[in-house]
Amino acid sequence: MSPYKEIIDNLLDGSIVTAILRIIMGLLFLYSGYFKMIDPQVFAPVISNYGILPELLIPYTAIILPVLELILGALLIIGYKVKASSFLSLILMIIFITAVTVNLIKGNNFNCGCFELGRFGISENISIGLIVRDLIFAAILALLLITKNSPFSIDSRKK
Amino acid sequence: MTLIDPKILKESLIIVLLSIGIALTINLFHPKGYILIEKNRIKSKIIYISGEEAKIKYDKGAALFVDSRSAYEFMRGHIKGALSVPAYPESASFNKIKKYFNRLQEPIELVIYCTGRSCGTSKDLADRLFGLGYKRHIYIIKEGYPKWVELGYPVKESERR
Repeated sequence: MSPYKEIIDNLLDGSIVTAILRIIMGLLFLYSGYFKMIDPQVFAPVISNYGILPELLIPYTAIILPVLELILGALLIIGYKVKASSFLSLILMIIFITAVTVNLIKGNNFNCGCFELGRFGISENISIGLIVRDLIFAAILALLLITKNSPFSIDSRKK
Repeated sequence: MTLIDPKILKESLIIVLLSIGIALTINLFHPKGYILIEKNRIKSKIIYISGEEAKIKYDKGAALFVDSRSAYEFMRGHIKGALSVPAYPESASFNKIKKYFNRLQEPIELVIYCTGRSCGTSKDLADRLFGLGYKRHIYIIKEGYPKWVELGYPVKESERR
């Protein structure tokens, strides 16, 4: 058995590495949801920038998306309903990637409103780099979705 | 194993519904939450009118004129009979709305104006009134106060020049 196959099998089976990745993703979602929740009226114009949603749905999205991110983050960290939460997170990530890609193609340039890194002076304008970052996140979430077990989680204790 | 088990879909749906429920509840108490009365926003809307149209409403006495500029600008000169409800600062704006609440509720058209084409305070004030549940259309004088003055319509100016 080649060592690579062993590593891949380990990942697919669920190991400490997937547990760490799961918790990191959870923390990211918690963090991003929290900052978006503080001020929905700041977040709403960001959604509006993407020009994808009808005006009427924007306030609802500004309210619901941060809470969804917080809940998904918490579920991923404690490892409860890991499959469902990684599935939903993956869908969100795919939506984000699509939204950024569409706007990049249109030649738009604005703050992506992902992690509020502007607070720390880090530019977060939509870019190819952002898409790559989100693709990596999406890959991690897809991995979490297909692993057999989720070590260090509530799900694994119940078995 | 199929990639997306029906169980995962069901649990995902529950998570989404739960999030929506929690989010709407939080929004009720969130200091910066939304007043989700979008229905009113669709029904009533902002209508931009010219200075001349505003004057017709003025002459008929069919409208209440509201000055959304700052209190200082209002003091310097304003449309005769207008109320001063500055759009900013927000707290002052809310206080003024509270003060004139009964007058704003009168079955009379509301005409808001500010310094002209590019000033956004009239629209901001109108949106705030809609947010507070104002149900009728709101008229905004497109070219604002300068046009009114230019047309020689009635104004009240401060004696201190």
